[in-house]
Amino acid sequence: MLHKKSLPHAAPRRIACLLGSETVTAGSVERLWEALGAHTPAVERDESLPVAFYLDAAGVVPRYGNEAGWCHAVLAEARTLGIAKARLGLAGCKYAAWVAAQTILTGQAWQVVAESDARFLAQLPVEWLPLTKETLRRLRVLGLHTLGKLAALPGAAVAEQFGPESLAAWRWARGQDERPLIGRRCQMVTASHLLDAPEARGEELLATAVYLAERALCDLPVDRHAWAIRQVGIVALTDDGERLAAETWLGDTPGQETMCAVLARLIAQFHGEGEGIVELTVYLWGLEPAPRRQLSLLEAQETDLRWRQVVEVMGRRYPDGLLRSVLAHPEAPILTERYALQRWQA
Amino acid sequence: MLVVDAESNLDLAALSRCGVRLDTLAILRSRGFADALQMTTDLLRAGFTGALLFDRLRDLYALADSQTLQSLEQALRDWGPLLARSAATLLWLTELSTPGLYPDGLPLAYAASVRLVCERERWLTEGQRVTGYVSQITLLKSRGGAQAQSLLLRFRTI
Repeated sequence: MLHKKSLPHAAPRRIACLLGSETVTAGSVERLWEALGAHTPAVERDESLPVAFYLDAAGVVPRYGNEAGWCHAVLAEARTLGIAKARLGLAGCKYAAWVAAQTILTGQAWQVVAESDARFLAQLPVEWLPLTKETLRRLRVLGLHTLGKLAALPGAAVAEQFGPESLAAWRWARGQDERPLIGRRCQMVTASHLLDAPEARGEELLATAVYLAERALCDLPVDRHAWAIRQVGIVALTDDGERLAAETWLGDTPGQETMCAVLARLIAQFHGEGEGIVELTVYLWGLEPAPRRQLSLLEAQETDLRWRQVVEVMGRRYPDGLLRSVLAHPEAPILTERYALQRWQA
Repeated sequence: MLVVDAESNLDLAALSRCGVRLDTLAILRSRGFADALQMTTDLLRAGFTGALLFDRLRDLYALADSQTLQSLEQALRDWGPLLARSAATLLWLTELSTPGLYPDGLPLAYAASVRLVCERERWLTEGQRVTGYVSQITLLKSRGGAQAQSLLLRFRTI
């Protein structure tokens, strides 16, 4: 008897959401980011929350035995780095994973959604969705109190009743959050220098720090201008064994003057201690690939100044031709009546 | 993102349903095809950077009118150097009267760096209702890229 061999199915998505509520230093979060990379091929940080990461959890079972084992390993990593109350939710999409992390029972640290995301979400109140107050009010008026009830509606009815902007939330309620997990690895580069003699002079320490920062930047694997730096820190050891540390937000890839000014401010914190420093280390964290720097097209697109100039020129030349769309009548029952074109004025 | 609306029939509701962010969209509405070409030239000369969508040219319309064809050829000659030194990407939509058959007389095929053919393959439905469609996108021309590769894209319109 012949058996028809079925085509291989794509592996189901498994995404975990790691949340931490503690107030931790930016450096600890960056270190956690880097450490998580040992447990998953992709880590995405959610910048809107103090400590929030999405992790690719597909295919972790062969290495960790089961998903629970993987959760234990990830949480242990977080605890090691000082994030004691970390919570981990694991589901088939980002939204369900985030909800799973938020709805963990007291006394537990993780929740694995083994059933379908839609079934897991069905009993939750609609307030879990990122909807406007008005939309939530209308949902309640219509008796749609749970995600399951909203998910059961046809998409067309949702778009007509609550506007197309609510369709994303409707899909999430159905467990169809298709947002990709955009993995980025946090990186850290360091450079250290052992001073010949204890040094207390700020200028000398600054010169050493600038040199170390330059040396650390040279360790980057690709063109340094294609990377975005987020944080810089200095650790100094004094001649009596005390460890001094200072860190600050640095933002994008800095120029030499910016770096020098930032390092000077950090060094100034040590200078007040009046102690000789015998070893200086400069850390640069969060060196993730920065697509906007690599794709100059998008970088230029976001340059407001250039855009305003173009709008000004085109607006003068075609006063009635340059238009923008506006949501003119949000409550209009027919979709096409909600939007209108208006003249774009610079 | 800026759309040159050559036919003055851009459907905002359809764009919104397809997930286009209307708050970041600018539209140049022309009074005809020649006007749309001139607007595009002016945009590029003004230093526009970003994605510029020309919507759209109907092949029969262009082939039937020698003046239109001449204007298009002239515009393409003008745009070449402008695009080469700018950070703008021009996306051009051509609607074919015979799907899959690109007319020889249109100069766009030679000027374009990348050519994609988009063919609607089937509708997506939920019960009786059409909720979107599946399009097959095939790479016809690319400088340095693999050709004749294709993929399917699902467009949900509601």
